Amino acid sequence: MSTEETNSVLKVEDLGVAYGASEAVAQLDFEIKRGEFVAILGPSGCGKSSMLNVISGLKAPSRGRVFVEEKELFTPKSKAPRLGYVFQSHRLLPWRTVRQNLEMALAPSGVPRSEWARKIDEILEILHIGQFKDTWPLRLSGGQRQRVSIARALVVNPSYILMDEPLSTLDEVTARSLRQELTGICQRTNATVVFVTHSIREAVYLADRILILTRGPGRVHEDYKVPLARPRDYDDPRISKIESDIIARVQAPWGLSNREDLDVA
Amino acid sequence: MHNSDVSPQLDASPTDRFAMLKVPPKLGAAAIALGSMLVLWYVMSIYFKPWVPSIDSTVVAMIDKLGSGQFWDSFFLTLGRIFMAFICATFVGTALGLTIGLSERAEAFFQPLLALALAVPDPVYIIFAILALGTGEAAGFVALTIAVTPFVTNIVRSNIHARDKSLDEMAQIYHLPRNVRLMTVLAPQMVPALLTAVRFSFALSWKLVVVVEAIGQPNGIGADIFHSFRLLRMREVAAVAIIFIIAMQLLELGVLGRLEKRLTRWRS
Repeated sequence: MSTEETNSVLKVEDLGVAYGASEAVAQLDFEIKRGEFVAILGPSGCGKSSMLNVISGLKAPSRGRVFVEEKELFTPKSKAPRLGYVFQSHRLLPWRTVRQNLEMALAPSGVPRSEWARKIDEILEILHIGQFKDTWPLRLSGGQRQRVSIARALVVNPSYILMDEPLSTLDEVTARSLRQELTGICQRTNATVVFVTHSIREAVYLADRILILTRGPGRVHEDYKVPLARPRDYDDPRISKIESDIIARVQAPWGLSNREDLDVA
Repeated sequence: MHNSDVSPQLDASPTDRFAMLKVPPKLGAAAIALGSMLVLWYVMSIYFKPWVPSIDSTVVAMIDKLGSGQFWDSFFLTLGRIFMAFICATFVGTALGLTIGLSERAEAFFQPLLALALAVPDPVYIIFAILALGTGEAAGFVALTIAVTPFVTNIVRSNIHARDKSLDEMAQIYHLPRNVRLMTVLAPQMVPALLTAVRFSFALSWKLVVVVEAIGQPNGIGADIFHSFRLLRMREVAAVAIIFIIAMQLLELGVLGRLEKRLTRWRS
């Protein structure tokens, strides 16, 4: 087995998802390596939710295969993948404190109980919310709740983390601050991230690679490697240039007549 | 008098006036409601004399009852019956509601039965239970449990359907075991519904117990009320009913109110 193979965290081969006669995803192929931050961009109706359901282990594909750390999912002997998920809304249990929410996710993860407290403290400190450990989620701001949601995803030692437009419900100032920290947090924890976003600029700022999907049924139209070193500046003119470049590339395959038609992910 | 001469106190809205008197608005509104009821009672006691007893004679009868050992025997007997039926109906109703709400098969089976059970008037259960089981304790218990359970089941079932399903998905993604999903994810979402069901069960139980006792039991508050009614002692009917209503309200506010506050403290 080559080094490249052992580094593969998530591999999708010829993935298809259909609902009766209607095909949501067709022939999707991609691979994500350990520590990579991959953004997924696609027009509305490209099958993003169906794809997320499959790679999170919730729904078996109609066609194709999914491998997590070289092990195939959806076979009789396969186990559901150990992953972290940061949803669009935080999906924390409001009747559990921040610590209890994290403990609940930790319990089935196989992390020994003796390590829970240390691990939780460590993750909360990385996300700058250590002081809210014993706070009810309803007493936190939207940004703090989303930080807890990211902490919950990181604390379970996941093979990879799925982030489904996690900043889209936050105000711009909060989103900007969290966006700035996100790449640092992922680098520090060596997390592998699949990040779905509706913002091309956000994808360029955060990701190592951007998987651009076609209109539904979704296929990978282009695997775009972001040619920028880290750390990056959100207001860097080079990001604007790449953004424009991507928009130009997707205009034809997404059937857009002008920029205003842009409605992604 | 010019408008400008009008005192600001007379201009103020009822809410402002309560604020000036330092009376909490809710308490003020409740006092007005209670006062209106007393006025209505007073007027009715004049026009429907002697069938509607006067307020003062009812108060005297209440004091007599509170000092009577026989009244307290009936009171605690009825209270015991209420609790038996209430606890049983709450448990059975909640279990059935959870089963129906979480399983499509169970829903397909139980839904028509539930609709039927909800449509049957409560006295029908009471009459059938007395005819089938006689006038002993069992008849009342069975009738009450059967009458109250469908309502509890329906409240729990509806709220299971209305739960936040995105949390189910989260629980599935994080591989939470079934018992954790039930106790940590589902049950707390059901707390408001369960408390409503408990309240409803309690309120319905004590009203039906009184009816059951009046129809088919030789003792208890319901039997006492019915006995006084047959002797046309309306002030005693009113006195017993009022004492019992106050006691039930105190129990609901004291026990269920505190329980609710404790279980939903994360909202505050």
